Amino acid sequence: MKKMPAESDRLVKRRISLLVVFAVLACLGGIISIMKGSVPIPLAEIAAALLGDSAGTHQQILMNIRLPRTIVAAFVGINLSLSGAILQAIMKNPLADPHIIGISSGAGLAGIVIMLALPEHSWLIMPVAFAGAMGAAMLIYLLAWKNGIRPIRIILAGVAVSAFFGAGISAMMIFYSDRVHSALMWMVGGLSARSWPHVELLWPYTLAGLVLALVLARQLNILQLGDELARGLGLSVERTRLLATAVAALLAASAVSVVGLLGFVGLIVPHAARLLVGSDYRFLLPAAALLGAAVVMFSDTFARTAFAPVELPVGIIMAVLGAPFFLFLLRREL
Amino acid sequence: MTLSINNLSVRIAHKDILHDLSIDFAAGKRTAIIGPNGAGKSTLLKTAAGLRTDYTGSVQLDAVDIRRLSRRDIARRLAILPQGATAPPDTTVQQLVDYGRFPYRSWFRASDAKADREAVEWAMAVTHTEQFAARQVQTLSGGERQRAFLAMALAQQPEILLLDEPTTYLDIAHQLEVMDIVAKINRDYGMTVIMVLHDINHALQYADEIAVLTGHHIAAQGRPQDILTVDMLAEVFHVKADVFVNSQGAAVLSPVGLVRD
Repeated sequence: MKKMPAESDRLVKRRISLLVVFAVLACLGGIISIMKGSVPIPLAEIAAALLGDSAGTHQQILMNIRLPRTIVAAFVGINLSLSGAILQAIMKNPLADPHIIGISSGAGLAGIVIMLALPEHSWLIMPVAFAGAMGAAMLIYLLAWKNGIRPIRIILAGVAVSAFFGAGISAMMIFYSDRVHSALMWMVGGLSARSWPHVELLWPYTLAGLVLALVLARQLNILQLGDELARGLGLSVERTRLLATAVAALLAASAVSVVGLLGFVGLIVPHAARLLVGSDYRFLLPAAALLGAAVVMFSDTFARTAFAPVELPVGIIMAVLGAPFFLFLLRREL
Repeated sequence: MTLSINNLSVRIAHKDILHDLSIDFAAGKRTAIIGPNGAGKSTLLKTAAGLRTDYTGSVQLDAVDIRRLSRRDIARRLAILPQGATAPPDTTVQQLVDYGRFPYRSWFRASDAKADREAVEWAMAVTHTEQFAARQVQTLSGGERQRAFLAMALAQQPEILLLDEPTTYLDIAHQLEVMDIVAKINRDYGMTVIMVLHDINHALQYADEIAVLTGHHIAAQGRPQDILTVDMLAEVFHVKADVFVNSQGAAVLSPVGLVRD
């Protein structure tokens, strides 16, 4: 258009350059995550190993341990961040994230049951945790349904379901107190020993989640205007909300089933992205995905290396970073 | 395009809000709906726009039941600006107005970019919002914000525009500004306007047709000078009023006190 676009264009340029910055951050996070560890691997060797013309222990460590773990970290970051960003739009609530909504608690309980009661079937953890997350999401949706869906009812139903499953988790830990150690890592959320099978589980969800989220971006923008205005503009509000909830649940479920109850990523990353690029979901979703990948990769690298030889679960780092940021948001926005 | 409502009843929480209400809105006219608080004016407007579905009776757009039309179809023919519309604070006016093109877009079909751009430009020109197109909603004054939302509704290029108390919370100048824009759209483009108004004198000045909503149904409908009388104010609002003729030669109602039974 004629006069005003000068400033609108500037806004778009600003958002695109921020996306580029986040992409660079994500790449950096990936490279550093691959380089750092108990055995440092120089950059030149990484390039050689990735191209397949090197052998030896470094190549082994790189291909079997560091690279898959880094990819898992990136995918988990993307999935949790997208899930949180979508939930925040459909709930019209800045505090919505897969944890608070209660989706994670279903995965948590299911995972703990396998881990503690049937430890010999540990391969079941992923699929069962996934089913648990989806089950929790559906349960919350059914409980919140009463002539349609209201965001506030979803949140309250989520809190109730969370408390219920939380009680189950506590009970399991008391019944099997001798085996609690293995469950602890899961409760906090960690990437230790995550490898190619986990990458294989995650990538379809990450890919489908990204595509669906970007397809939904325009609808989510309209949904942010509130139900009435959105309906008036021709949006099928209930259908969009149901579809978007399903996408958010799938994303969260896939992430939780691989790394356990990793908190704060789905809450703080979409918020940080929103502060920087604004609330237009066409930009916010890719920004949250890139930033989520970068944050989890950096945090995991830090968690692995900062207190070597002790390896902290990345969930602890996320909580230490996330809680103050959460309080900052609270002071700023509410 | 005509909008007609037949035998409409709406119950909310076991309470009658509207009961057996029928009204035809004349095409190309400006109709003002007036009535006391709680009479169901907003409910009527929302039902007429297809936002509510929990009713008995029928709402028809050109003799087609609105429940048989898709939301998108409705949104291309009819736009509603509800009370207290909000948007994320960092939304620019340009983007907000562009949301008005949502019913013309879908993910499986490329939209007509030229038509979209022209509609947005037109809506911003009519509402005098171009000069702050790049500003964020949170920086706007009440009057600017209302015009921006009005522009969004106009970008839908509807044949019928529904407004729920469009001047609430605005100062006198901005009230007149919004009402003048609405009158101009109706006059120049033949858009049917149906608006809930609080201010009886706005209704007198800006409407061709008045519908009085009280006791769950339309108690009276007709020309402003026939409907908006001292007797009607006493009966419907329990207000005693005087009539003046202003410098423009128009009648003005001035409430002087409550009618005590």
